[in-house]
Amino acid sequence: MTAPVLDDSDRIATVPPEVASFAAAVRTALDDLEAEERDDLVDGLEAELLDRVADSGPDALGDPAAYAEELRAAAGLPPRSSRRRSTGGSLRRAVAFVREEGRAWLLRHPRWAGLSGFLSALRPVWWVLRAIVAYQVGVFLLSGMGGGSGWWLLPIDGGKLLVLAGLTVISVQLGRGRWMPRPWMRGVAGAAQAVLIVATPFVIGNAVSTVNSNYWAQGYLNESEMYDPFTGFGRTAEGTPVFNVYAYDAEGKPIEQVRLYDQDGNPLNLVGYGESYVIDPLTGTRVIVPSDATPGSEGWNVYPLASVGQRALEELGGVAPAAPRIEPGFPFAAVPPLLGAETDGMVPDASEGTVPDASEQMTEDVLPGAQGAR
Amino acid sequence: MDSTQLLKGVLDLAVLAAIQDEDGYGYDVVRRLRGAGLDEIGDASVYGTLRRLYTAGALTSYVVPSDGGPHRKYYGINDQGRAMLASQTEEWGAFAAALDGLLHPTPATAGTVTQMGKKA
Repeated sequence: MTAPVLDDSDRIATVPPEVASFAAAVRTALDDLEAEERDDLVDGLEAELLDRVADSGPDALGDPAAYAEELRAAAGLPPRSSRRRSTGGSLRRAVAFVREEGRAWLLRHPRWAGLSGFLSALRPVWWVLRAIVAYQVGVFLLSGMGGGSGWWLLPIDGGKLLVLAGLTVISVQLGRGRWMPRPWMRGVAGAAQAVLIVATPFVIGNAVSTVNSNYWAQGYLNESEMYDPFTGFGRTAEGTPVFNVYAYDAEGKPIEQVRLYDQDGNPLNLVGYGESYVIDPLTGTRVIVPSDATPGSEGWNVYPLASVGQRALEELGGVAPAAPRIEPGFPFAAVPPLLGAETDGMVPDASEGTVPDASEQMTEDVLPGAQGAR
Repeated sequence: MDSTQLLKGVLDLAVLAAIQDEDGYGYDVVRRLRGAGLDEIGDASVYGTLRRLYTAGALTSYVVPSDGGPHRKYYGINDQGRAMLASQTEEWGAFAAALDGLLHPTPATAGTVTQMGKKA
């Protein structure tokens, strides 16, 4: 009967329970040591114990506490009792406790050991990732905040790629437990690892946002190839941009001011939506303004819309109140009257600028909001 | 006499000697030492010694995974280890000769004992 056990590389290995429990007891007896020190000491322990059991039977293992003391003494580490207890030590013990408990829990729930195995299979991914993160942290530290526009997750030019490749080799070798001849190096590597873990979300976030903005910029580029200056402007049913409306009454005479609403009673705004002006995208110089016969900038549905000269634009994005308005010229002085319309026999003349009183009167009567407009 | 006490002083030397020709993992080294007649040697003492020699920079180390079983940590000697082995071998030779001379005094070796004893 066997139980899955975490050996020191956190791999799942199949070890008989008596060996697993003996190894766990040894680890517990060494839990006052720093994690790296302890892991270093018991790395490969299960394999040694397995051989011992294979040679001499399970009874040969003896007392795990004595075994741990012997291991500790031979490794030149002070005995457990003389170990100085510090706050750092208690934190270390807490970490060790959690690790031990986790290990024991996995022993009781072999099914979850599969998850651990899955995660440890991903360790090489982390080794590569942390090399990239280390590279980016280095770039950040060397170049300061002003990384500028050309941020890339991976470098493009050969020299930088070489640096990254070197970092990757170091990271992977460290991950494989190589290149760590001095104990203090483990401390340094541990601290560096902590920094990299903290930095990783930022690098990933940066990478994601860079990819997104590049993607977005590409989309924007594609869009600009068919750039439409009338985006946001009204259109006819055929799609022709509309930014002004000229109304003629039944007799074919121009209506100087007409207020339009859509089927829902909303102002029929073709150009603006409350702005104080909109620059005509076609000429780039004409500044279209809403009617000044309404309060604020609500006059966008009063047609035809007038415009002002570009000089009327003020620094803060407004239109000078006294700016002279360029009244729109009607496209036709008059159009043929509608069939059956009452004509008084006079020839319609746009220059007279006659506005039927009725229409203005009706506007005031029907729309209570218009009362306040005056 | 407790031979484990004797072994303690020469454990480094014994372990270095056991892997000077061939890399080995912990239990490998234990087997080699036992095979050489050092029966009293404790497994954990050997492992601890290997770790300490590694920490001191006298050994290299690498992990060899095994399918379905726990991985083995192999140790190999490096130049620093060989230098350590050489100097300790010399020290041991002097010490053993001195003790030998003490235990088996003969006219022929008496002089050597004095000479070697000084050196040690």
